Amino acid sequence: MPLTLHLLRRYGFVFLLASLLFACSAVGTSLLSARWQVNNLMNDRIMPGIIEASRYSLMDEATVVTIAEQVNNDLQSLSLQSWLGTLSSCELQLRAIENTAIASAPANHGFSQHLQVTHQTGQQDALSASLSASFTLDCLVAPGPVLSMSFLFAAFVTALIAGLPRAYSPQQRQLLNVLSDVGLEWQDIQTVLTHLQKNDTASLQWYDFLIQRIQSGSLSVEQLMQSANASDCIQFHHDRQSVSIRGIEVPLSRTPYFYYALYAHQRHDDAQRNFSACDDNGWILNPASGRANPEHTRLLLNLMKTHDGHQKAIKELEAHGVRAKTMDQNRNKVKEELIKVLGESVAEQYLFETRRDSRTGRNHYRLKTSATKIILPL
Amino acid sequence: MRRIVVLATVTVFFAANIAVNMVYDLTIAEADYYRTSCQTGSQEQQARLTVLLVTAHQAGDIASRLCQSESISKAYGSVDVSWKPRTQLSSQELITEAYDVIWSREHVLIGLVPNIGQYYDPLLHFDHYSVYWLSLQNTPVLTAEYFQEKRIGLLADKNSHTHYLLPLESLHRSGIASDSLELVHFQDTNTLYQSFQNGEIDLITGGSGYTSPTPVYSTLIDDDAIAASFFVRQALSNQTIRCELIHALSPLKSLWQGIALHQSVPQTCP
Repeated sequence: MPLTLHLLRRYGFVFLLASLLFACSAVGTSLLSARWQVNNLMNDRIMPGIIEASRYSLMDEATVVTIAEQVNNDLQSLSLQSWLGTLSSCELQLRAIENTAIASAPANHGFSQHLQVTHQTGQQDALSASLSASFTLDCLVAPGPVLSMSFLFAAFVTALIAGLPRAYSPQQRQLLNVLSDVGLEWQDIQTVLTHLQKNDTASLQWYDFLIQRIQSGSLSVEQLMQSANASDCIQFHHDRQSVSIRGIEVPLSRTPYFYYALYAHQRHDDAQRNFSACDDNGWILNPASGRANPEHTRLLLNLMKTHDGHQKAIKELEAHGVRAKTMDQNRNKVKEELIKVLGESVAEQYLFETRRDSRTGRNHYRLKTSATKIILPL
Repeated sequence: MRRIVVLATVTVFFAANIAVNMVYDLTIAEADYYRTSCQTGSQEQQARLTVLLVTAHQAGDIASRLCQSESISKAYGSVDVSWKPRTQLSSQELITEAYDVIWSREHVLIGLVPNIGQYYDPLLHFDHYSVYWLSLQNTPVLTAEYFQEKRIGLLADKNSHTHYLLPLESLHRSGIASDSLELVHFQDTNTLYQSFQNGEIDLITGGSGYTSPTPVYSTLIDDDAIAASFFVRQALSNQTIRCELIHALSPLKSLWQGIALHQSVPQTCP
C-alpha cells in the first residue's frame, strides 16, 4: 500500500472524528450558552417585567395576552454575540404565562429548546409567591464558521497525533529501563524499541524473555542488538546444529536437531509445493511399528550424513528407518532444550502441534511456526 | 508522556472551541411590559395620546378603540396605554402633564400635587361605594373569636382601598389585632377571587359590584368608600376627543358596576 494512502486511512479517520467532535461541541456549546444567557435574561429582565406589569391587576386571559404581546414585541429585538458567530440568529418567544397559552408565530425550524421558568414575586405568601412562564428558544446554526473552525482544530490535533512519536507499551517501557540500566546508548535503545514495536502476544513474550535475559546477564548487548535487527523467523543452521530465533542462536544436540530440521523441511517443502490451498500442510504422521516412512528416513539420513550426524544414529536409521519412538524422544529433547534457553512461553511458539489420525489412531506432528517464517540452508 | 501531550492539547483545543463558540452576551431592547401602543394611521400627526390605568384589564381593547377612532386619528399619530404600578406615579409627571388621562383617586392626586385642579379635570367621576367582608361559610362577625384561625385574603398593593386599606382599618376599629391573624397577600385581584371561591381563603373584602357563582355572606365595612375616577388634562379641551375617551373606556364598565357615575362632559356625547 502506498505510504500516502496508508497515512490517509490512518489519520483520515482521526481527522474526521476530531472534526465531528469539534463541530458537535461547537453547536452544543453555542446552544447551551445561549440557553444559559436566556435564562439570565429571563430572571433579570423578563420575569420581573411580567410580574411588575401584572401586579395588582385583574389577571384575566385578555390581560395576560396583552402583557404577553408586549413581551414578545420586546423579544423581537433579541440579539446575541459570540466570537465566532456560530448561531446566525435566535428567536425567543413567550408561549405561556401560568396556564394561559399565548398564540405566537411558528418557530424558524432551527434548534428548538423549551424553557420553563418560575420567578419569585417577592411576596412571602405561598399562594402568590411565584409566577411561572414558558418560552421557546429557536436558534439557527451558521454552518460556515462551525465547519471551518472544526476542520482547522481537527487538522491541528491530527497533525499533532501524527507528529508525536508512538507510545511505548508497559513491556517496552520496562525494556527501556532495563536497557538504560545496563548502560546501552540512547540511540541503540531507540533502535531496539523501534524494531520491537509490535504489540502481539508473541512480541510481548519476547520482550519478557529479553528483559529476563538481560537482567540475569545471560544476554549480551551485541546479542540484543542482533535480535533487534533480526526478523521474526526461525533459521536452521545444519552445519552447526543450531537454530536462530529472532536473532538469538540456540544450539541443540546433534540428533534432536536433525529431527527438528526434518519437521522444518516438511513444513517448508509442503508450502513450496503448494501442497494445500489452506495452511493445512507440513504434517508428519508418526510411523507404525516396523513400517518406517522411506522418504523421511532418506531425508534424515541425508541430513545426518552431510552434516556430521552421530554414527550410531545413522546406523540405527539405516537398520530400522524412522521409528515413532525415536521421533517422540527427539521431539521431547528439542522441546526441553528450547525451553531451557528461551523459556516456556517463547519456546512454545517454535515447537510442535499435534492432531490425531482418526483412521490409524496415531498422531500427526508439525512445527507451529508457519512456513513463511522458516529459513533453511540452500 | 505522549498520551499526556495529546490529551493536554486536545483539552486546550476543546477549551478554545468552547470559548470561541460561546454566546457571551445576549440583549434585548430596554422595555417595560405595562404599556401597549398602537398607531392611529395618521400620516400628519406625530402627537401621542397617553392613558394611565390602574390595571392591564382591557388595556389592549381600550388602546385599539382609541386608535380606530376617527376623531383621535385627526389629532394623534399614536396611542399609548400604560398600567404602571400606581405607586410609581410622581408629582413631576402630573405637573408636566405626562398623561392625557389618569385613572386614580382624587385624594391621591391631591396628595401628590395639591392644586391638581389646575392641571386635570374630572372625565368620569364616580360616587362613593360600599365595601363588605365576604365569606362563603357564614356571615362575618367583627370579633377576634370569629377571625381567629381564618385565612384572610388581601391584595399586596398597599394603596388598594377595597382589598388592603379598608379591611385593615375595619379590623383595627373592631379591636382585632391584625398581626395575630393569618393574612395572605395576593399579587392580583383575579387570583384573590379564585382562591376565595376555591376555599383556600376564608374571608376577603369586595365592593358592591362583586359577583359570585355561589351564595356569599357579607358584612358591611364602609358604605362611603372613595372610588377611583378618570381625570383628563385640562389642555385637552376638545369635547369630541373627550367623548371618544369615555367611549373607549367603556370596556371597564364591569369594574364600576353598582357605583353612580357622573360624566363631566356635555350630554352631546353619543
